[in-house]
Amino acid sequence: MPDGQAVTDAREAQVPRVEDPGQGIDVALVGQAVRGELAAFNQLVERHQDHLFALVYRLVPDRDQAADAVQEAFLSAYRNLASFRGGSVKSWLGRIAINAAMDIQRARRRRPSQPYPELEDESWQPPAESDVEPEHQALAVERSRVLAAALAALPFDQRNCIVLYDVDGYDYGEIARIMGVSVGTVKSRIHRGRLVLRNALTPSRELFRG
Amino acid sequence: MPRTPATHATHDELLLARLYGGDVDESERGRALNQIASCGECSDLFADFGAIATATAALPIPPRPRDFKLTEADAARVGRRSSVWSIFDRLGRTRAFGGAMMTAGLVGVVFVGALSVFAPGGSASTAGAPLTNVAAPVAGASSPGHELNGQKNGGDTSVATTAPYQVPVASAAGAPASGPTSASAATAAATDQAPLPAATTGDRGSAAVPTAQPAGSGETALGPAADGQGAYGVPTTAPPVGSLGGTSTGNGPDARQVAFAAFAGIGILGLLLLTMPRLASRRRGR
Repeated sequence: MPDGQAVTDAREAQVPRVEDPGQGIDVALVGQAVRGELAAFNQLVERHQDHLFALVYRLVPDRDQAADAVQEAFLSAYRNLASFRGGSVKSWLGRIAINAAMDIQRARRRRPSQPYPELEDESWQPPAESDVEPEHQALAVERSRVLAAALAALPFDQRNCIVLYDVDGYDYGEIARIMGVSVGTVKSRIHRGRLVLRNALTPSRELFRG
Repeated sequence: MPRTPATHATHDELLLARLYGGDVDESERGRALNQIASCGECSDLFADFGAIATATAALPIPPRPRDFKLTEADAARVGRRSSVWSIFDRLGRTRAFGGAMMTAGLVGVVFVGALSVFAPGGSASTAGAPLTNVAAPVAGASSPGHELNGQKNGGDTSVATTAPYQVPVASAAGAPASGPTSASAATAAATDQAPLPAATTGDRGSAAVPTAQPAGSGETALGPAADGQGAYGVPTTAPPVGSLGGTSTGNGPDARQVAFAAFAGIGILGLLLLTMPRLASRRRGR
């Protein structure tokens, strides 16, 4: 029998809140970039582009659009370097990237005629691990496909909140600040989205057990 | 564990989702845990939350398709911040503020406009003068002197000035149909004072005056007109037109015009804040 507190604690254990050891380097690079050194800014890009792409890809599950959002985020960050007020550069860039991703989502919602590739990108599959049995590998691929499709079918407000909470480890308050809504709204979106997601995945429940 | 699908329909699934998210108080926690313990469906649901969250976090991420480093050209492009468009672009975050301003301006304009139509007499109708006087010159453009008298002296205490002021309000509100027919009676005295066209004096001297006047002030205000002095006997008691500006101090009849203009300005500014950042973005090719 699962215990609520135990599950919550487990989640917190999964998402450790460790201070970014590279924060000092980031802040120094920002300072140089503010003084006009593009190379310093590009070092920042190099340090964070993988993380930001992974973050945005969860929100905009299309590689090209996710890449566009990340590029736009870095351009926006460069344009607004002077607005950086200290703290974690990683979080600052993350917020900018999330906002860029949401802009793309809103634009797509305004133009529903555009095809939404969802997560049907068959051109890429996760690399197979050598020590994993082919059957398990196939199961993992199928689970990812089904889950990604269910996530993509969620309203993007709910999807964003769930991804930021479950995957990226933001807490309710941080998500509320990023999305510009109340903490209560964030909680509601997560809880309701979680129910919708589970109901959507009920036919494929076996994929997620054991 | 008892599986009770029949009663599961009555169970609060959202409570379990809140429990998973750590968003329950003590009493709710107890209720949720009791629900899980007593219902197999609820137990499965709660377990699925954990499995799905774990699987979500483990979703594979494809390799990034390109490098996101900025080129010199990128830096030069985004560095252009001096144009007017970029100023509006910088205000992009204020779109919501712009929308609020536009709404406030629109509401203000409608409110001020509504006041001019529905407001009763007294000081409220004083504030309504500008709007009715805006309309009046259209019908009687050749009577600037009287317009000014009626408008600028539309005060609270002046017997002579209240009547000409109230008349336009009444005619604007409900007398257009009766205006032309009642014009002849009302203009008898008015034409003695000024060479107003019949239509103009008819509008201003509408028979709707008595009904539009509030009790008390109406009788007083109608005095000059009723006793044959005419509504436009104002010039005999009012200051010269050239000095009318001074009479509007404190309770100036331009207050509503000013408010109208201010709200309109707020609305237009809000519209700019709302639309210009988008235009700037489009120009930038986003």
